[in-house]
Amino acid sequence: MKRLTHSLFIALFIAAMVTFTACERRQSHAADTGFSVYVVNYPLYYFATRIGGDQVSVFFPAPGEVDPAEWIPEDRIIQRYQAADLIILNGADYAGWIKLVTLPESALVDASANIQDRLIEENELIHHSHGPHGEHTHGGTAFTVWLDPTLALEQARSIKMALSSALPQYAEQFEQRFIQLMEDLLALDSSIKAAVGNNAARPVFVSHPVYQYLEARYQLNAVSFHWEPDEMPTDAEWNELAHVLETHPARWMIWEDEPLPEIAARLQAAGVASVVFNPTFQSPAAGDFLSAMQANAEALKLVYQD
Amino acid sequence: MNRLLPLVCAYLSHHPIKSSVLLGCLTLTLYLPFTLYGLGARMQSALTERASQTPLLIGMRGSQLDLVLHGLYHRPETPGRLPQAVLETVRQGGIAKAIPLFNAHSAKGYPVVASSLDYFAWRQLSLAEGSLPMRLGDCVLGARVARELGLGPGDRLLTDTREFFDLAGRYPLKMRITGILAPSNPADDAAVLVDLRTGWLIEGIGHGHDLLDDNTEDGTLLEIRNGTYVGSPAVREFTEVTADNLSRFHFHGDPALFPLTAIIAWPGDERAETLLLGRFIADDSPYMAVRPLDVVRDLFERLLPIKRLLGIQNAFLAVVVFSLMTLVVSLSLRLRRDEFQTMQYMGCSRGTITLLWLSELSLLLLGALLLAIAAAAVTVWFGSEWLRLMIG
Repeated sequence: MKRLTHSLFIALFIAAMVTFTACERRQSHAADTGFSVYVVNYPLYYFATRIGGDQVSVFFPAPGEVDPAEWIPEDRIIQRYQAADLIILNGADYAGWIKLVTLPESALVDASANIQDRLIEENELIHHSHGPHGEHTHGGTAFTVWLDPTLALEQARSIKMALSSALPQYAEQFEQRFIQLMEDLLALDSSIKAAVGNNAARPVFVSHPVYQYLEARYQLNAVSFHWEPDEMPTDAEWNELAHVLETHPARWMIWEDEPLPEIAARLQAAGVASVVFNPTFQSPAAGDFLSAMQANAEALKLVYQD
Repeated sequence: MNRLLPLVCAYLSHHPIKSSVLLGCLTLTLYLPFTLYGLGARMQSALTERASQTPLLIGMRGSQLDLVLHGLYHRPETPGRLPQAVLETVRQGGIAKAIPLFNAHSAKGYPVVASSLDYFAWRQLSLAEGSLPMRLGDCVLGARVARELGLGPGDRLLTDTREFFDLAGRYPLKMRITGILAPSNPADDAAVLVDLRTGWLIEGIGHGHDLLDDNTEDGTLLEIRNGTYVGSPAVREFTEVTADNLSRFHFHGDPALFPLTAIIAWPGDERAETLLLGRFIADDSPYMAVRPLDVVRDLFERLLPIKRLLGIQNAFLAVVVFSLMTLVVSLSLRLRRDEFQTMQYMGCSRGTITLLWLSELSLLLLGALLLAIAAAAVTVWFGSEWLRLMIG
């Protein structure tokens, strides 16, 4: 009888186990060895690297020869973005590919979220194509926010806050590095102000509509064209220039890159000299964001102090 | 006792039909309540497990049960669609994290659940093959969908057409399958998971077509009205997103008004939860926030009378079987009167004879109990999977 009772107990126990075992599949996450930050343009890469220091690894995977604003990453790059701890976006509708790919919302940080009221809306939408990367559009929200150093500073502040929130143990280091960057950006702002001096009203041309924040910050009197430095403008475009010159007697055209010698010569013949102000979409050939912008400030001296 | 047991076994095996009938009756009597209890417990566990992992669900005001079944088990019924702007209301002030859900379409009959990548992490879904969705038009199949359709990464899956005879309606989208989920829970195993924007693409809010510009010369450009290029119905619309046409896809309208069918929210703490619930508590609010666990518990409370009825039914059944058994045993005792008398003549005491008879009965009862437990366990094991599939 004892044996039977024992068998019954075991049978009951097994039945109870079979019936009531719940499937609890909680997993613990092992501590990460690195913290990866992916960005969508070079200025953000520079800010994140300056603030993050050795505590984070910053990646900007766009190939050097493409405009990151018009770039669409391939699948393997998207997977790298998906695996990132933080993805820092420029905001202001920059990098349209963000809306076409799948990224983890919880990792996204809009660096321009705190400057929405200072973003510049453009009424005109212009589609055009040039170069090997096809048609693209200007208009909507101007996106070269970083060309105003005070807005660049706010973007850097957003990055600092995102990093401090994700890695609170390094918040103090991030804060110190941010303060250094802030000083650099404010010094840059002073340099550009000094370069422009009291001549901001002097008429200038800009070859492409990418300098809106520079114009707004330093109240430049600029008229924008849609010329490419490596593409000879059409006759209609030269006529348009001549027409604009009648009401806007600019002596300088600000370019994104060195224009073709024949373009520069024809402009010169029209009394318009050329100067390069690198918008730093991509990493400069030499130096970094700050040195490139300081070089830009020097270039502006030519325009406003000659 | 040890000497009696061989006698008991010998008797039972000598009368196999009678022993089997008694064993069967007893087993059935015990099997039914055990199985019903086990299945009920399993169903309750399956429902509460997923509900307890989902702190809050937000949707249009209406049936709370519909919202919970929709948000947790991808059921098509929903109280309605809410604008994406509500997502910001939930996230406002950083008091809660939120995952949007848009489940309004299907592919081969399986629900297409559009959400963010955070959904995969939140539900702890892992990939058995391939990768997560990477771009518009990508999808990941639940384990059951992949098994039943025989599809894998690299294959294509067409969404279902809702209005078959609407020739001018939206085209189904041919989705690229990027991955297969490892088996996890029935709801996600039987779903096709896509990015939220892909869901809106299927809905028809977004689309991709040939470029319309000043150079369009094939007659598809009707006019340029206030800077907007108006195309004719002959403009070629893409039914599949590829690397080549990806940049041609775009959405129309105000993103704040793009539809969702539910929002999963988890507040940071109790205070945040109270604040969040406060945002949706007003009677005139078109939205509601519910605690899925409360809704599921409420459902079980409503089902309690049915459970009691089943209990009463079982009790009646037990009384009937017990009466039958009493009859069988009393008849058996009458039939065995001569046998017991012979045993007495052979020197067996009345007590020993009673013990022998009780041992036979106990052995049958124990056998029936073991058989009933084993049969109920097997039924619950397979039945609970069926139940979970039914719920999921």
